[in-house]
Amino acid sequence: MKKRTKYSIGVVIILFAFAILLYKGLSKSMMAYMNVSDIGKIESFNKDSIMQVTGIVVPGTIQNDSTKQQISFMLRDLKKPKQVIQVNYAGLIPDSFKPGLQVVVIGIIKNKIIQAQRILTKCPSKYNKNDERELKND
Amino acid sequence: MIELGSIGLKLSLVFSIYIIIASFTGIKNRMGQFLVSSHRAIYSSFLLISLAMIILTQALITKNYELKYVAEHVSNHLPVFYAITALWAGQSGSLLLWVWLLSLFGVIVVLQNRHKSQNQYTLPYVNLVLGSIQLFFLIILVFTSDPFEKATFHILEGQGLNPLLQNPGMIFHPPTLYLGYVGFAIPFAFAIAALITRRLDNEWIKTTRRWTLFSWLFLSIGILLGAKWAYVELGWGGYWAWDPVENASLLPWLTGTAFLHSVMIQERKDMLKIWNMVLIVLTFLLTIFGTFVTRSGIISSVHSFGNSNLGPLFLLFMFWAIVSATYLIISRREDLRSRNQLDSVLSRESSFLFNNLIFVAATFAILWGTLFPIISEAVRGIKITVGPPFFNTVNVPIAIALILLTGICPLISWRKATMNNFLRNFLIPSAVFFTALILLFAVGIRKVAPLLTFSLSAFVLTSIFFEFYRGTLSRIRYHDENIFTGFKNLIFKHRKRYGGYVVHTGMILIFIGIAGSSSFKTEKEKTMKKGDTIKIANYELTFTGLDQYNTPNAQVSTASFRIKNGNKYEGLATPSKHYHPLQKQTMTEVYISSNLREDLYLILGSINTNGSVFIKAEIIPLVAWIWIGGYILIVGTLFAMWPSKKKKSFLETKPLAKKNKEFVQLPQV
Repeated sequence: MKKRTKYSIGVVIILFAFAILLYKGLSKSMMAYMNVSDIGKIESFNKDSIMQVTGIVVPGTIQNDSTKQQISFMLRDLKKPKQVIQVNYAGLIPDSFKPGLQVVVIGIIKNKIIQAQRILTKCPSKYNKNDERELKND
Repeated sequence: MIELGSIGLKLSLVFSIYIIIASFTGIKNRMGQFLVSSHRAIYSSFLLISLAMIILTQALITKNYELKYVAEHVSNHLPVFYAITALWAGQSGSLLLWVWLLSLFGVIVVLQNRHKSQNQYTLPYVNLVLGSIQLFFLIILVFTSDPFEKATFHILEGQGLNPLLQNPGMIFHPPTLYLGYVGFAIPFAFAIAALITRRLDNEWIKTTRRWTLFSWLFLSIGILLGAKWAYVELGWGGYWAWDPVENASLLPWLTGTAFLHSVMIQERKDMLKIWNMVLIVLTFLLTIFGTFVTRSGIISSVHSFGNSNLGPLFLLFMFWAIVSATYLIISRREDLRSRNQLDSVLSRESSFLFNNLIFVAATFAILWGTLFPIISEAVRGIKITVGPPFFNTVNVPIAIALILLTGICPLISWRKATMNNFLRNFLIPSAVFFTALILLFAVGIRKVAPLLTFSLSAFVLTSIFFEFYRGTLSRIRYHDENIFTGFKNLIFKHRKRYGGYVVHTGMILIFIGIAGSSSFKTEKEKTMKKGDTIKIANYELTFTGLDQYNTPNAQVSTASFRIKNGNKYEGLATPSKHYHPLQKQTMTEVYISSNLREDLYLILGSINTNGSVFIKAEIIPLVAWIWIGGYILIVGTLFAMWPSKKKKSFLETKPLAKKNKEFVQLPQV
C-alpha cells in the first residue's frame, strides 16, 4: 500500500470517528434556551426534555422551606411582565439568588410548572456593577 | 495627576500610528533612520502606557473616586492588594493591562532583535504588526472604554470589588492568563513578517521558540489557576464546567500546543509550513476571541463581564486579521510548499501528525459547542445550547486518544521505525498497561473512561521512564559516565526533549486527576442539629456549633464540624457564610480538606432559625493530582525553555560573533 493511502485511511478513520462523536454529543445535550413568553408558543417540544428558561424572579412570590432546602417562586418574562410561570426547586440555592434578579432555570416543564434541576444566577456576570438592568431592579 | 493618565493613552495612540508609518516608510524607502525612530516610538509608547497604568493603580490604591472605574471597583475598606487587582476586575482596566503587556513585549522584541542580522529584514514588519494590534486596543481604550472616565457626581464610598472576586485567585489568575494571551501575539507577528518578506525558512520559529513556550506556559498556569479558583468558589460549577469563558481560554491553548509540536516537524523535515502558519494565526485569533468573549457578554457565561459595545469592533479586527493572514498564506503558498515527505507511516513524525489532527479536532468541537447558541439562533430562530454532556462526549475519547499517542510517541523512532524495534520497545509498557487494566478492573473500576485513562497513564509513564532509562544507560556505556553524571548530561544536553517528557508527565497526572474526580465523586446532604453526625466514605463529621463574627468587609457565620477520617481525628471543618453588607450579597465559603487520595468538600447550605444547619458533603477523589501535575508541567516547561549556556556564548555574545565573522572571512582573503 502506498504511504499516501495509508495516511488517508488514518485521517478518514479519525474524521469519521470525530463526526460520530459530534453527532452523539449534540443529540445528547441540545437544550432549548428561551424566555418565559416563548414557553406557550412551542407546543411541539418533547415533554420530558430539559429546557432552560430565563426570566426575572418576581418579588414577593418566593416561598422558602429552608429545612428541606426547597423553594418555589414565580418567574416573569424579561420584556412582558405579565407572562409568568411557577418554578419549584429543591437543593442548594445560589448565593446571589434574590427577588428581582434575572436567573436561568434549567428543568422540565410539567403542568405549567417548571421542575427545576438547577438555577443559575446571572449576577456574577455583572462585575461591572453599574449595569443598567441591575440598577432598575434595585 | 489623573489627566496625565488619559493624556498618556492618547499620546501612545499617536505613537502607535507613528510606529506603523515609520516602520512602513523605513522599509519602503530603505531608510534606516526611520527604523531607529520607530524603535524609539515603541519605547515611548511603552513608557506612556506604563504611566497610565501607574496612575490608574495609584487611583485605585488611594481610592480616588473621581474616576468612575475606581468608584465602581473598590471601596474604603478594601485591602490594598485587592485594590490593585481591581485593575483587571473591569473591562477598561483589563484592556489596559492587555495593551501594557503588549507594549512591554514589543520593547523586549526590539531589544532582543535589533542587532541580530538574521532578523533585520523581518523586524520592521514585526513592529508593524505589533503596532497595529496595539493601535486597535488603544482605540478601544481611548474612544469606547476609557479607564480614566470621570464620575458624574461626587462619591464617598465606592461600590467595592465583587465579593466573588475577593479571592487569592484574583491576584494571579487574570495576569497569568493575559501573559499567555498577549504573548502569542509575538510568534504571530514574526509569522506574518516572515510571510510578507518571504523569509519562510525556520528563522522565525527559532526566534520565537521561547516566546511560544513562555506564552504556552503562562496560558497553562492561567487556566489551572482559574480551575483552582472555580473549584473553591461555589456556583462556578467545579474546576471545569465547559463555560464559554473557560472554553475560550482552552481554545488557544489547544492550537498553541498543536503548534509547539508541529514546528518540530518543520525544523526536522522542512514540512508542514502552511500548517504551522495556519496554527499560529488561529492561535492568535483565538486569544483575541478569548479576550473578546470575556468582555462582551456575547455568549452568556457566569464569568463574563456585563454586556458592552465592543462586539462590532472586535469582530472587525478579527475579520481584518483573518482576511490579511489568509491572503498572505495563499499568495505565498508556493514558497511554503514542501518538497519532502514523510519516510514512513510507522514513525515519530506520524504520531506528531495525528496528535495535531486530534488537537485541531478538539478545538473545532469546543468552538462549535461554544458558538452553538449563536449559530442555532441565526439558523433556526431558537437558541439552543449544548451543555457539558456534549463537551464530555466529544472530548473524553479525544483525550484518551491523546494519552495513547503521548505514550506511543517516545516508543517509535524518527523517520522510520522497524517493526522489530517497535515491538521490542512496546513490550514492557504494554505489559504494564494490561497489568494496570486487570488490577483496576479487579479493584472494582468498571467505568470505561477512567479505566482506560488510568491504565493508559501507566503505559505512558512507563514509556517516559524508559526514555530516561535508555538514554542514561547509553551515556554510561558510550561516554563512560556514572549514573548521576550520565543522567545529568542526558537531560541538560537535550533540554527540549526531556523537558517535554516532564511536561507530558505533568499532563498525565492532570488527566488522572480529572478522570478520578469526575468519575468517582460521591455526595450527601443532611439537615443537622448540634451533636448530629453525617457519614460519607471514610469520614464522620460531627456538628459542634455555630460561630459569628465580623470582618471589615463582611459578617461571617461559621459552622464547625469535627472531622474523623477512619479512626483518626483530623481537626475542625469550618464551612461558612459571609454576608457582604456593601454589596448586599452572601458568599458561601466551602471547606476543603485535601490529601493525595481525595478531597473532602463541605458546603454550608443554610442556617435555620432553630440553630440547625443544612450541609452538603462531597468526596472528590484524586483532585490534588491536577494541581501537582500543574507544578510538574511548570518545571518541565521552564527546563525546556531555559537558555543553554553553550549556544548563547557562541551566537549571541557580540565580541565572539564578531571574531567568528572575521574567522569566516579569512579564508576568502
